Amino acid sequence: MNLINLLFEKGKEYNIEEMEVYINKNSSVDFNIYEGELEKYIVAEETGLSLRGIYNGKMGYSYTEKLWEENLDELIKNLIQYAENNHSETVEKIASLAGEKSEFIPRKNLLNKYTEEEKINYLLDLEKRAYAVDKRVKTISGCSYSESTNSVYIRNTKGLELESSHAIGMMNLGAVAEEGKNMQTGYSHIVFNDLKEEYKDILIKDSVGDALSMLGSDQAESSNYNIILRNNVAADMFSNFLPIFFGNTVQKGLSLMKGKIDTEVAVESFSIVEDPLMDNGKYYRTFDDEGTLTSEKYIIENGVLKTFLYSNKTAEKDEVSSTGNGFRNSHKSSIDTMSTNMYIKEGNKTLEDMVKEMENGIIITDIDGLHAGINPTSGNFSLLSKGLLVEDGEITRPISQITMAGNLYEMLKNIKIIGNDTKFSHPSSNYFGSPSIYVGKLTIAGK
Amino acid sequence: MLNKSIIQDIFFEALSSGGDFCEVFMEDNFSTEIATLGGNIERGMSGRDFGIGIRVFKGLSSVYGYTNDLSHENLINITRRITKAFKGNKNDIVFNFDKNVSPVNHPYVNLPSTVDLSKKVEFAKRAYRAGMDYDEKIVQMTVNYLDQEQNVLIANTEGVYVEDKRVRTRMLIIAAAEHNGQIETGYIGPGALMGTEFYEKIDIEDYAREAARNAKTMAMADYCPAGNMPVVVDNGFGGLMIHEACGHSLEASSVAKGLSVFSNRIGEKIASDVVTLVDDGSIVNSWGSLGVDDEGMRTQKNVLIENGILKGYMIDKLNARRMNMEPTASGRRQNYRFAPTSRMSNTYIDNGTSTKEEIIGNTEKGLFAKYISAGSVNPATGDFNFSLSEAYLIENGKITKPVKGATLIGNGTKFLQDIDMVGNNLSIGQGYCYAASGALFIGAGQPTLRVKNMTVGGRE
Repeated sequence: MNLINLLFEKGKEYNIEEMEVYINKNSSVDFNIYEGELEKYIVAEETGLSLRGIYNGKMGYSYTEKLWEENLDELIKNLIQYAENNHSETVEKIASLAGEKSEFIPRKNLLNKYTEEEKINYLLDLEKRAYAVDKRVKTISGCSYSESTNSVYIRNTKGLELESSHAIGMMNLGAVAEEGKNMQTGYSHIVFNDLKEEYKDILIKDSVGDALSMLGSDQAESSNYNIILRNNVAADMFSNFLPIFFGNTVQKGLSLMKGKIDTEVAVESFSIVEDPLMDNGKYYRTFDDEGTLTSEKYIIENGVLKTFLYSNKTAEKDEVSSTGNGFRNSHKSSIDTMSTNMYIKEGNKTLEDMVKEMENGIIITDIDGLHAGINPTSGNFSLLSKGLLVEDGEITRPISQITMAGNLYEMLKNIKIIGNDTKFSHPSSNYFGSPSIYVGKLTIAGK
Repeated sequence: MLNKSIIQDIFFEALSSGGDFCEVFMEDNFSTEIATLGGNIERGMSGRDFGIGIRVFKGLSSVYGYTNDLSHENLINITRRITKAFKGNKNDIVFNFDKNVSPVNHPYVNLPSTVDLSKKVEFAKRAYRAGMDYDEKIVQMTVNYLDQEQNVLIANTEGVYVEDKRVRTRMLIIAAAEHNGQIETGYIGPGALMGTEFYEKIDIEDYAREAARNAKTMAMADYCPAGNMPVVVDNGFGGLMIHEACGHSLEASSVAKGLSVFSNRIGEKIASDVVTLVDDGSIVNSWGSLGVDDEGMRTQKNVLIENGILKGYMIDKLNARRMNMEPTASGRRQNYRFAPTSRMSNTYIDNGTSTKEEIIGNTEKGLFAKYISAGSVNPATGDFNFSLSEAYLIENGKITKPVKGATLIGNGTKFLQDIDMVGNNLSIGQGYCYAASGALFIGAGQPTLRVKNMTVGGRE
């Protein structure tokens, strides 16, 4: 912390008016099991510092991972160069603490209960059980555990000082099944803050189950089909469309949600919630990276668009208050709009009920190519998919090598049924939960 | 950089409990990464990445630790933590750093850390202005500028002690065009393994106008028809198709465990006669090149497929042990936070004998893919997909109307047999690849070529 005092003093000598440091610390352990052996084991201890400050009335940014006194000049000079080239009309401000400072109460880290040996044994057992499910399980291609404690510390020359820390665990399980010359894969993951025994069954059912059920799959005839997006597919897809609810995307004219506040954008049963303090969430934050308090809120409530997500800068442009969504991706990124934990509110139907009601169509169980196959601006998507054909209310055969195409905005208004089986998207992108959804008709290209 | 006595202390600790190999990767990287919108900085900043990664093997087990606290105590402590899972006796290896590795030379002039940010912003502004001036349908130009001055030191218990300086820069120019309320984007991303003198060698304005033309063409295009048809893919970054369709499946990370459709098939005919596939990390100043790979081996040209016959894989050190084969200078990582694994560098299909005109003229009805945006693959099944950012219909041997929203899907083994014409106009484009050891700079290239049948996904 002496380094920060020194940095603030040095900054003043360089005529920087206000300054703020953001320090990101991560300490993590990752390992994976392959054929009954500990194959990889990774330990990390890292710290990154980001500096921002007002120079000649403009905000400048810079970062370093070289937290050495002799490197402070370079850090400040980079900030000044940024400020000199910052010609943005909206002037970003460094905030003093808004309202009463609330004490940050960290969530109890329940992963500390277990020794490292217990965690490794848990995973060894998971792999063993996954192999034991069926003779056609050729390889458990991924069986990994990771645990990280992330902390954020913010301090500025206006008296703001905040600290937050959160530990989460994550497991992945990937399975390859083989029958004759046909190979199929399945994949599952889970984010948690306590290592429960029941997670093993969930992970195995999702990955090994998918690999086995896809064996012998074939293309479907090209046509329009009734479609159920299974929970994992709906979650991954919506997660990638989330930027259309961000204030900056809307302000740039890149979201068709623009101008739709308080109007119906989806069917009545459809609601999206953001919960920064959710149980088993990827995030646990009481304030954002600008010092604004976070809150639980509806983005869409009963089909009506309620709010966009804002940072200070984008809120000012729309003459509203920040929603506490001004975050940095890391110490290397400036303040941007980001979501914390978000999910679609569940309905009360099971996937089986939905399949019966749909009668004929396809359950999409896996999608690929999300980084290129969707266009958030237009809402169009066209994705490599796998699924299960449904005829007369029964699953009849697996389907692969098809594409599913449609438009998000149209789909939101055609939703037929929302399920009760929420799954969360892979935490490497926006963290988003969704139950299975019967979305009506979409275009399938295959044979 | 780190002195040899600290490295020897790390090695000593690493091998004291049964480890049989240790490697240190140290990085000090100055970089600028900014996004400009309307010619103004919107996001990003300049800064310094700094840290060390320590890797230890025992047989086929690999442990890794990374940190940016370089105190002697912390480095020894991390080494002790990662090796505690190994139970064995001390390995007596003498560390004398006597292996001479000379990196491939990629000359540079202007180091990014010495160029003022105002000059970098001006490169972006030139692209912004040229794009906006192209046509009134262009509503926005986003220009991302990136440079890096990555200094690495790689030392290992086999005697390697080598430094490499990787200087690179790239600009990603994204144009947005509006037509009848529909917005479509077009982009282009020239880059090289050299300093900012790169922008004196290329015509920034020309690139910006190309991105703008791409966006305008797509904004006015109809949706692509869905179905099965021949696809002609143009030269340059169209090579991303082979990168996805078979490149990843030839990386030791999937081959070694028998998880690739191409495992144990060296010497077999896996592609049609016209296909020769190369991965070459030594091409001078090329975006996907390095002086040495991230395991300290001088980069080289690797022929993967020759006239349809599988000749080799891309192999890193750890998988080389599993496969009983030699590494091919293919060990790569995004930075010190990642343990390296086998990855592509500049991957391309070599020239054939057809001309582009012959290929299109011989295609009665099909799709012409001018630009590919991105794709992905499942190496176990070989199923791949990618999206086109500019495409046209081919009717009666001629390119006709532009179409948008096309996704192509296929299977690697069948795809390689289905390439039936390869042109003579090889060029290599620049992009990124995301996989186990992080985001990497890669080149992907090919001449214009034809795939006789692919599934095209679209809305019509």
